[in-house]
Amino acid sequence: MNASIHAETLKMVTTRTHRRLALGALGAAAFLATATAGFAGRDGNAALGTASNLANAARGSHVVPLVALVLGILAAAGEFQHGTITQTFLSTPRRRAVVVAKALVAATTGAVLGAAGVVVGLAVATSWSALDGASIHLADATVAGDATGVVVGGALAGAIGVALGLLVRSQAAALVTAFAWTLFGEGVIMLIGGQGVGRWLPGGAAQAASGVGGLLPMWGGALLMAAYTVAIGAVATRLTVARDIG
Amino acid sequence: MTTITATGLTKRFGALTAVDDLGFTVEPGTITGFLGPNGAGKTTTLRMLLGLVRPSAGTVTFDGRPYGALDRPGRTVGAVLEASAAHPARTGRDHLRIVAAAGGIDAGRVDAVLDEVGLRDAAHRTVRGYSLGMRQRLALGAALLGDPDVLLLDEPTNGLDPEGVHWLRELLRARAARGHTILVSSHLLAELDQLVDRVLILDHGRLVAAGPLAELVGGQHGVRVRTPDAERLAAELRARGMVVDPRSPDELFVVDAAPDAVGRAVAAVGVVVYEMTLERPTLESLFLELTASEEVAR
Repeated sequence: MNASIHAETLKMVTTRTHRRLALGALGAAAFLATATAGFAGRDGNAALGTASNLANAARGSHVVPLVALVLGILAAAGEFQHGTITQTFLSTPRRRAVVVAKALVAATTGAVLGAAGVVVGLAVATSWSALDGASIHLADATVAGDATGVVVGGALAGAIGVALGLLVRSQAAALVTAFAWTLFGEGVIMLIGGQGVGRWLPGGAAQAASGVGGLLPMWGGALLMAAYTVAIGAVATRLTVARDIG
Repeated sequence: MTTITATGLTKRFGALTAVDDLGFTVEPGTITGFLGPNGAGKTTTLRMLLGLVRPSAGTVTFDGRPYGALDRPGRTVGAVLEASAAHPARTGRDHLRIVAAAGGIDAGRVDAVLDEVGLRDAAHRTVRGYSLGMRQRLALGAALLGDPDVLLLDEPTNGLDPEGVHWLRELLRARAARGHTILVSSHLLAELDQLVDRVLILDHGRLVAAGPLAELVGGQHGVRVRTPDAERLAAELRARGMVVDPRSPDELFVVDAAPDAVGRAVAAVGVVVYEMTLERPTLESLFLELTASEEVAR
């Protein structure tokens, strides 16, 4: 198991595409925090340096769970796409161990990326606030809660990406499935089943987990998302263990 | 010293039986050639050996243990499969680091293997820019990382230049001499002819020949003679205790004979000879004979 985790970590950090995506996510977090600062105090937006403003900046790194999802998909489906799954299962014939290692590494990557996104967002926001001479309310429960949401959301998104990637096995198809589901799929279901259904769907759970209001409480969202991850992961693992690689 | 044993190995894909009740052993200290026409089931068999494809029936083991039950399999078995691929966006060196990490192999082996397969200068380039030959060398490097007892190679000379083929041949001979077990599949029969000690020939998923190469092709050595006096020469050859197989009114095949013995018989009866050739049947002729006769039988 340790060998698999070591190998999966190396795979995650030695692929250029992954590094570029991670840097892109942090860049986007900085950009969104700058935008939050720019619009602060206007049009009913929270004023610079207030807890609500800083929480918005931290949550601006919403893009991070999205990138963690993509990284998880690439880590799993990419192995089938590039045929590297053969070598992976030659090195580790216990396929279950490979699946668990992949999910753990993608979750850790998502959490680390989430933490980095929060740090970048808050650094940008506090810098703007300091320049403006506003008092900074960093040590606030709202800020901490939203920051935690991004970290937890990133971790769960990474793991769910792995499960989805193993299930679909094509990078493009998995990415399209993930985005079509979040952009349209849940909307269609809510049109049919009513808005209230939305909170119980994966996208709604993910939003709740990262602190979006009007849905489940944050912990409820995280738990529901974890349940979805385990469910999709269980099906993906069964298929992966039984599948002929040829 | 590891022996590979397959018993009743079968793989069905729906109605198609790709591999049918295969039984064989691959002995340590030998290079065994694994042959068959395209679609004969070679790759499926190799993948069953390696636990990548699940047999419909039968077993295959390394000293009694299936691949999946080996502790750190990369240290016992090294494999190069046709589809062995490295991620295009990764460097060759990183690819080997990953294989080493996953197999519980000392990371220090990575640079040694890069030297051994001749990829030291390309180690820090991404695999995307590698030629087919370089990718094949990288795949061989991954197989050699754990310094395994057993090598299973599917078309390993694919894309290698003549120097690379020579290098690979020397490497396999040296390993076989050290008691390693080597199974090589290839469609380039001439290449295997000079390399393998034993062969397994597969056709339509069934084993059609297995054994030492010399034994399998040995019985067909002989001298072919073209002469207008075929009958007189045949009588003389038979009188000298040789087995003669008349092929046409002016052509004889002297089974298992040496050219000098046939030449002395020719001189003794004083016949005119148009042509005299030592026929040394090759792996190729054995292969064609075995796999073609199957085709005709259908």
